[in-house]
Amino acid sequence: MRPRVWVGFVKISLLSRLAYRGDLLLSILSSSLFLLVYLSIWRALYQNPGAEQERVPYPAMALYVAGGSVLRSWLSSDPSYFLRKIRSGDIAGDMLKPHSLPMALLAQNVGTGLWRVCTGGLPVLAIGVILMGVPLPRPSDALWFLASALLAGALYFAYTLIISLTAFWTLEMQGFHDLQWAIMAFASGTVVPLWFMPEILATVLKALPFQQMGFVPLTFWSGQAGQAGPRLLLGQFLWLLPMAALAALVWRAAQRRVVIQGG
Amino acid sequence: MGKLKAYRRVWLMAQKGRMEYRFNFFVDIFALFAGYVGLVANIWLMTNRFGPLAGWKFSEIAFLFGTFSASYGLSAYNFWQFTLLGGFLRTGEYDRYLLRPLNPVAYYAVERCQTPALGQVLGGLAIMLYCAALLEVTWTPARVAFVAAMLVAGSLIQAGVMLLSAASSFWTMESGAAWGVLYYPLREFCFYPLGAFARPIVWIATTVLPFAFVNYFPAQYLLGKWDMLGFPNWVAFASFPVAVAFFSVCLWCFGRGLRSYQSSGT
Repeated sequence: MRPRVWVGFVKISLLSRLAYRGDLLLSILSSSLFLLVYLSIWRALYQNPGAEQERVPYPAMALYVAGGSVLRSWLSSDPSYFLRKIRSGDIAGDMLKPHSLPMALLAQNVGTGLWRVCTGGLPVLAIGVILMGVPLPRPSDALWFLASALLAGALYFAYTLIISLTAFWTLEMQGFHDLQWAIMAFASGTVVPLWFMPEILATVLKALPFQQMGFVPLTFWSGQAGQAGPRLLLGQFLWLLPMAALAALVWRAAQRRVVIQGG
Repeated sequence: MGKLKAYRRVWLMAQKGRMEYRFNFFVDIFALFAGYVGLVANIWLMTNRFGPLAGWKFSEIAFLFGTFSASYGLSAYNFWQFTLLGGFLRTGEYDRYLLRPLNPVAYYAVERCQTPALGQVLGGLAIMLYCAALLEVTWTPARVAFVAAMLVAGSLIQAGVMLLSAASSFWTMESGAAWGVLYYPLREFCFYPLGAFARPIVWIATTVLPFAFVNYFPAQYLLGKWDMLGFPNWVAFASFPVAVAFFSVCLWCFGRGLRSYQSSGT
């Protein structure tokens, strides 16, 4: 796809978000409430004395939780995108356009993600810092996080694209797509970091791609990466390659499978 | 009596329609269920390494969660569709419900009942009963009746919130933007013992949106904890009247909205 078209998609996506700015305050309020819930719970848990509490002190955990809300605002792609498009019949029109549909989607997601970080993630972080005593990350950690979040975004896009494309075969299976939220909420380690999980579970989750989209970037943000930084980034990158290849394969197969149900 | 028969038929038709996609139906239920298992798993992970949360151990928190889930499922089965009302108003589809000789709230509730929510009811009950067994709760007829009243009260409170969001749609024509956006973080206060939160939140959860009456207060009696956060002990038995009062207010708001409703004309 030509760069100008790509930038155009990013721009349109940003502008269409602007049209719904009425919901903005509500969504900031909502994310701040979530942040408050999780900070309160961790603070209460840190009231107990224990080995874990000493290993990862509360400020690092507060960073982790607040970083999670920024990261969530950035990962914006929708695992039921194609399900909706197939249901409404819009898919026919989309596939007739002279550009690559997945690339257009990626561009739209970059736009949406940027918009959500600027109008949701960062304001909520500011609220957390000002009102809830959340610390800010060290600048170097923030830079590592930026790189890691970019990789996580690409990985999440490829993953949701694969999940979303299965709608070409299953047609109606909202539940399967909803299941992705449950898997991400647990296996990405965004709520409970892998440090605090039992050995076996942590080992299993480390072998899966989900933690690359939550735990890994947040490890950077909370300053817990230490010397492992380059290795962690490489790990994300190594997951991205097969995931992107698989997404491309599924997309090619899906184009031959398309069923137009009407509008 | 004739009315009841009409509702029954509408309900049966709705169920039949839902069951046409049987496989999807079970996948939907499974997905809802899995989401809740994930939440409970997170609570287990937290308490496993860190110890009790505000003095509540895992089985006690899971009991709270099961109670919440079962009552949420009950309310969602009958009322979740009200959170989508804005969309039905914009397309004018809701007008159909106003033109039939049935109550527009009850008719809409019955015809659009959310069958997958039964997954939450069953899952919630299972978790609740399992934890009650772990915690050696002795069951007496009085306690069984208390649990039934608690679940009905819990579902009335949550249904009330869903009706409130629907009521706002009559004016904004939006599909309860305030609903999804604010309800989901607010209901999280039901997942954990309230003592983990700051005082102002405890007050909001008891007075503005009475979520504390869904599970936290009644559970005190069932579990014998009496961790009342400064509230008197009798509050543990107040869920039912509070729920009826709250639901009535919400229903009244919905009626006000309905009276001011002018069809969008589409």
